[in-house]
Amino acid sequence: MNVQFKKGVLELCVLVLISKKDQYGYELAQNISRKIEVADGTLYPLLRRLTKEQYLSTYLAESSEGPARKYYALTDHGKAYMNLLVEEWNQFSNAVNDFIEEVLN
Amino acid sequence: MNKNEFLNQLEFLLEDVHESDRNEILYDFLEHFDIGLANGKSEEELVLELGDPKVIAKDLLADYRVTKAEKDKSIGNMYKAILATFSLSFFNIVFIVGPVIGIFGVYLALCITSVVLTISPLLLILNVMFNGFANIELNFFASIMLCGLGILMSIGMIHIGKFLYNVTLRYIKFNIRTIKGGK
Repeated sequence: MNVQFKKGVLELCVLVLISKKDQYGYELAQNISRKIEVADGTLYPLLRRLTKEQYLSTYLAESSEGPARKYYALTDHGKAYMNLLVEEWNQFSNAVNDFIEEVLN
Repeated sequence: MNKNEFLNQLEFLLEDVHESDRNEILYDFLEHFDIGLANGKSEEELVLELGDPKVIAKDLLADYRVTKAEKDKSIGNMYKAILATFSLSFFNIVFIVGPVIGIFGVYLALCITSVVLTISPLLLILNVMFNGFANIELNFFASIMLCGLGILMSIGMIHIGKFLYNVTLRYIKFNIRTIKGGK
């Protein structure tokens, strides 16, 4: 997929995945790259930015295997932001689907 | 490239970033490697999945510069933020530099106008030196009026300058959010 296009949507995917369950960076990268082809490394700048803007909060938690992990959780502020993005995305994707249907069918 | 080479390169690319921020960033990647290795992936595989450290560093640097320009307002910091942002992609050069040069040009011209108006009484002295005292009353009042106008305009320009600084920052942030380096 087009890079410019994908990057904007990545933010939404990250917020939605974290809203389901707090996750650490590696876990999040795995969950996203299962469906979208993306360089895992680009997630970390995104996570930093979202944390800085207080959409996400972080905490360290011990793990049964290996070292402590940094978990990301959605804040109330982040939840409101996610809902806004979801709404925008739905409007946008509906419009695009309408065009495709009109023209191709 | 293996884990150490990746981390060293990233550290080198982020040398301008404040040490505590840089360590935090590197720690996140270290954790990524630790967990990935524990899950049976090789260092090379993980590096390949993470992508080019240069791309990652550009993204982090642009964000860091913008934060700095926000906290510590100066033309230098703004300049660095703009540079870092359009290093993200060619697309940005068109979308940031174009509007910034246009608006900044107009702003500069207005600033020069306000300065010239403010010092217009000095021009009156020059006029007297070269042309003697012909029309002195009219020129005197005109120059005082222009000077007052210039001072008012200068005050306005300072406020507009601050406003432009903030608007530019917001515009850059919007660009970083929608246009970023990637695979």
